Amino acid sequence: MSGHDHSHESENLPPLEGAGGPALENLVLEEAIRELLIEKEVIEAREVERLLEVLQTRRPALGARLVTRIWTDPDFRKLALENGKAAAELELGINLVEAPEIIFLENTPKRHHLVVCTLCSCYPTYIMGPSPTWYRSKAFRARVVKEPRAVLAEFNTDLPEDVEIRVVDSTAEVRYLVVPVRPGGSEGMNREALARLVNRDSMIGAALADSP
Amino acid sequence: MEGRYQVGERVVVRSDTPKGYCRTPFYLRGRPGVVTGQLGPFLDPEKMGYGLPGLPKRFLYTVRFGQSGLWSDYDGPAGDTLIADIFEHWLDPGE
Amino acid sequence: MRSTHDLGGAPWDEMLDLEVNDVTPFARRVTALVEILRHPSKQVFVTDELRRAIESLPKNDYLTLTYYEKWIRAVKALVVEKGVLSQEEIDARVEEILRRREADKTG
Repeated sequence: MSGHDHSHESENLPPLEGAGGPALENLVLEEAIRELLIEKEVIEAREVERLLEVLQTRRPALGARLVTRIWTDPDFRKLALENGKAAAELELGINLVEAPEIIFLENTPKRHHLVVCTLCSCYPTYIMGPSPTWYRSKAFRARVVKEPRAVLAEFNTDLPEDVEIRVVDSTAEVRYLVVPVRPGGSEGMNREALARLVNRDSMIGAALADSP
Repeated sequence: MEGRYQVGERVVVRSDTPKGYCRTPFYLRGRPGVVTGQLGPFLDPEKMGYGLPGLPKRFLYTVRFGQSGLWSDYDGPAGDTLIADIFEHWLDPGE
Repeated sequence: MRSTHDLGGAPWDEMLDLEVNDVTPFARRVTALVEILRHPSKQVFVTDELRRAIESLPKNDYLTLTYYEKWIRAVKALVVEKGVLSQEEIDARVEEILRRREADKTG
């Protein structure tokens, strides 16, 4: 063994072909930059390890918890609509001081929000984890602002003409989380059961919450 | 810092074509909209993008656009809309 | 003129690929690196600089690289721009790692 950190070796080999994996040159570029930054003490290896663990904790389940509490707790809903970040910190017990602002967008039977970031791919990663690959695709970013209903149809999300589709282009400092309409038949369900109905795509606005 | 535009006011996005980094999408430039929210002052991304301190801060708004005002061939109901966050120095008063 | 990255409303007749998933271990490592470097305790760069660097990639790279590949290319540009690492030492280390991998494979 050389003196180099091989702890991620199994992950580094081989690049995934045609499955969204990086080319070898870019895989190795990350390794090279990381090694050099550690050697020069700009960063520490354990910082990277720690952050990789933190990243694993960011999942759509966090967003789903927020949605279900908004559905079921009027005081929390009020706080969430006034100060999204404070509400998220309260419910999830996490520190979002480094995170951008969060705004919750409530869908209603007459208005459906659908979020995109046409300029890059802004997404509420702190409470949702990494965005789905399609969200970052050029096709989604190019098309959804102009033909939202055609894009929604690809998710099998068909909304009547009298529902206003409101596309939300997340252009600047705010990250948006959609609160889907609470599905019929979910009355009396507890928060844990409700949270299982809140799929990731429903919090982007590409889908509806699941039916019980 | 106070915002120049109030909620409900009509605005038009400027048609500038800056050479460098900015956060105003091309498809919204020159388009009329209505302010629906005041998000407050933020460090100026156009300066932050180049490692500068981002001052003076810029006031940020949520602006709503009618889809039929964005695309002449919009294929959907007249009530469909789009919102985006636009900085004050990118907005002019609307009619 | 519309910039390459400024995609909203650009003519695009391709359907969405809802199956592909690029959130690989590589993607997580790149994300971790970016979050560490832009944390206020280090602030090697800020988010707007990362975006600017991504938008400044050659057009063909912007259109063909995957999202996290663009990120690592932009990180490279920024650490060089900031004088944290030099282009030469990065290139040399890339070569070294490639040789190491080759040796691991054959040895």
